[in-house]
Amino acid sequence: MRRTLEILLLISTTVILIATSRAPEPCASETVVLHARTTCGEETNLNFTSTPSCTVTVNGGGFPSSGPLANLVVDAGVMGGFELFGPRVDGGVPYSCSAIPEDGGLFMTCSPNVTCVPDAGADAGPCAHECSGMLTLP
Amino acid sequence: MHSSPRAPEFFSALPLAAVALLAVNDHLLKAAFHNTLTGKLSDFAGCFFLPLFVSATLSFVTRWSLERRLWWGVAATLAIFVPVNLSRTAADLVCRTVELVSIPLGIGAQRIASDPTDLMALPMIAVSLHYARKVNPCAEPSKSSC
Repeated sequence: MRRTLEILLLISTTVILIATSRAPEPCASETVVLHARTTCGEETNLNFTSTPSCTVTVNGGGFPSSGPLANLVVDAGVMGGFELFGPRVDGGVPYSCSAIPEDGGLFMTCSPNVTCVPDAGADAGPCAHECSGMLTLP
Repeated sequence: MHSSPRAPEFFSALPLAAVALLAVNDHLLKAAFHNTLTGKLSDFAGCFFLPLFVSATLSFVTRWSLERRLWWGVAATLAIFVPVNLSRTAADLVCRTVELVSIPLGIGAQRIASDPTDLMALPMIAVSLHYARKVNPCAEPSKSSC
């Protein structure tokens, strides 16, 4: 019994020693609910989740599903802005979105990553447009 | 019948308290206060218990005397503590080595700050040796079976 306890103490000490040298995570892991009122999709509440690897993920709102925190700015738990890249939830061309702090929330603008050529003919497919709007606390 | 600990130099109140202090300081106190004291507390605690920890570990895998185990503990502590605080390269080498274990265990990547002023904790090694000889009945020369 005593020997088992001593071995457990040695193992615990080893884990503590390793854990104290663990590299700090640069970003917080948290989820913030924001009310999206944009021309990108329907007005709705969305969960924006930041991860220790400094990415933001969201599902819905007409936005791409993930992207980096802008300039790795995380101040006292408040995101200083973020970006989203990729196809929007309804598919189609990839978009690049930027959420920038403004009075009352974050202002989101999204632009398609491909050049839209109007009047290119029926074979050109639908034209993707910019969209924007505000993300605020619900 | 009450049995004595195999290596009382580590399995006793002070060294185990130093381990606990290291854990509390690194996970709570540094985040709460992040001052000079919390910055050095872990180094002092570590320099005290690390030689004793190595000695205790050796007592499980060898039949070495207390003195021999202690001096190996001192050597291991100096071999790690001094280079990582004097050399960024040495610190990175130690980190990469520890990551061979820490990443598979899910603890994650390692980072050690090189700070030559941390070397002020080295005298705790002498305190550690004195403590070990005081608490260990095998420290007496007549107890050759230790």
